[in-house]
Amino acid sequence: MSEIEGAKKALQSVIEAAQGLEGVTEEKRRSLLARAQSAYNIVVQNEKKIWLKTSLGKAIVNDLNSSLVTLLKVVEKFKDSVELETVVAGVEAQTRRIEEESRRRSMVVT
Amino acid sequence: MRILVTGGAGRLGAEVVKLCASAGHSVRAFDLPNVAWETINGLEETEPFKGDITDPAQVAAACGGVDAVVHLAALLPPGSERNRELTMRVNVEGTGNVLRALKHSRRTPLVLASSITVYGVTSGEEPPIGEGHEKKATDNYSESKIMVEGLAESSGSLNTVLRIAPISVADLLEPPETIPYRGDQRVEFIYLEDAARAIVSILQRPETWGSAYNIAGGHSWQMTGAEYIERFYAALGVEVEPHFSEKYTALDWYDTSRSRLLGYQRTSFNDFEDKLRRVGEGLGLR
Repeated sequence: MSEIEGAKKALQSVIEAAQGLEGVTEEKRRSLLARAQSAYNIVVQNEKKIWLKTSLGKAIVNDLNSSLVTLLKVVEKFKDSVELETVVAGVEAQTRRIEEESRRRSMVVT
Repeated sequence: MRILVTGGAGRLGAEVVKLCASAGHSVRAFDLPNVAWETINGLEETEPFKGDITDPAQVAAACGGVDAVVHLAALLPPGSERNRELTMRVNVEGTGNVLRALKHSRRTPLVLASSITVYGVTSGEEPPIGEGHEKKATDNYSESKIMVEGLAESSGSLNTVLRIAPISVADLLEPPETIPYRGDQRVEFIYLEDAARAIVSILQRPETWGSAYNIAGGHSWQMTGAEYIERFYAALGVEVEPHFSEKYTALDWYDTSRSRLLGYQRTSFNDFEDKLRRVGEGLGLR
């Protein structure tokens, strides 16, 4: 399985785990779900980008996967919201990097 | 010379700013506050001026005390095709603001970036397409550029119009979902630094002012759309399955015999491929 496929699977697992998350308010659970879904959408929208095959792309996806492993653990063994917020923000930062790099590398013909 | 470059933080603008600064000119780079300024921040003899081309007061302030203006600020495709009103405001009214700011200094040379798209779809004609060819708008962008040329012509300013071919950058760029030209269509691009060199060369040659020039890569860049895409990505070391437009678009081979005296066509397509190969190696694609 490619690294980007791994990121998609991990995000799907986070979404599933978040659906059954206990010990948080409904509002926070919904917010987590929406943020995880948004990260998943960004990965799907960019999964065919050529630049993801570059050394930079591989490094970014590896960072994302590391963040997702941590996020999945935090969601599955939920203890407190502060830790969850920090880890989710880390995942969002990685997906923002993917979006930004794709935007920067879009071909413009004038 | 003190030179104002509007759109100075953009891809072409930043290259023009760098070339002007390295030639010993003092440069004021005008661009929106929220664009990527990193490329030119810290350059010697360069003053960043953050403003909006649609704001007449900011443009007038930026034009103050300069000896020449290079006007590149514009909304480009595909963004220009999403909002006609905004495209006209930025491209046409923005140019109007520059021309008004220079109203009292009509001998200040103004270099205006236009586009080869002003010639419309010419695939059924005999190439190359010269500067005397009629103009025909095919989209918001080309319509705005035709209007810009008309404004400049009627302003009485000392302006030079550069109809620039699509610019090629030696970097990994993602192909759009649909390549905006046919695979069997004639295309001619120009390397980024060569386009910037043409602009700087104009500024240094008063005898060339007051005319319109095609600025394109030259013979080695004249090929079909399919060949361009194939050679571009092969040099980078990646395989692509491009989906080309089914319609002919406003891109062709251009007559650059008049502009050649500017000495800007220094990068052949083979040189460009070499640059792409090095980029591909650096990115781990080769």
